[in-house]
Amino acid sequence: MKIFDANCAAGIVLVDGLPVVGCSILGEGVGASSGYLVMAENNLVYLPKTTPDVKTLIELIESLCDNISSITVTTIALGSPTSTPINSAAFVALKAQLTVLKTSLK
Amino acid sequence: MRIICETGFYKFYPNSIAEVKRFGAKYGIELVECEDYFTFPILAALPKFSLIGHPYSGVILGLANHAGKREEVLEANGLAYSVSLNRLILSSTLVFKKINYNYSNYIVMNTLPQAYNYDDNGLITGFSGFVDVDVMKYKIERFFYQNLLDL
Repeated sequence: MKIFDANCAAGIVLVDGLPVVGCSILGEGVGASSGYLVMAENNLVYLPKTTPDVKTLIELIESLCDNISSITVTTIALGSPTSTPINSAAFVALKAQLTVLKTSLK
Repeated sequence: MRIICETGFYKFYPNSIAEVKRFGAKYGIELVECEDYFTFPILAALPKFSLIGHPYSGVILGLANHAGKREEVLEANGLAYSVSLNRLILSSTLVFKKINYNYSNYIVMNTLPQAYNYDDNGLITGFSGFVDVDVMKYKIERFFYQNLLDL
């Protein structure tokens, strides 16, 4: 078995800048990624690093939390149309948890 | 010194390092240690993998994707060591030469047999035997042949 550092862009796996023919991609393979090419006899598989995608997803949710918090602050200031105003502090706390998760991805 | 040739990859198993030195002096090419055997430098330098279109050996590019033993990767790429040229060549270019020998207790040959030549029994992919480094005679116990199902 042999393992190489590899990259993938537009479904093409590259090792040392050269394309690898006949390689399966364990993932969607659409976006550019870095990862590892694993060879066993004549079988090849590319394993992309998935944590960058997770990190991006967390950042998007953090951004969403910020937006919701600002909306709730505005809503409370104007007087909530419902009798139970949304607690913006919950979203602030959620964002804090996401920030911790982002910096400690396994 | 025992010799085993597998699909064009030559391995030498000496009883002492002196045999390696004497063989190198008489044959003209010094064998080098590689894992648990000795072999020709060009074979010892081969990587244990190849990727199609990526550098494999010198200017030779890989013709197959394969990872494993050196001899397995060499075979996967359709290459063999050329005894006369001391370099790798396509094994398919070796199949037109017949090996002639006479039977006795061993098949005794004056030159190192070339894998992928043929005899009356078929295409020879390798052999096992000994080299007598005193007289530089190759005593072949048996040849290995291409499986007809692989053709």
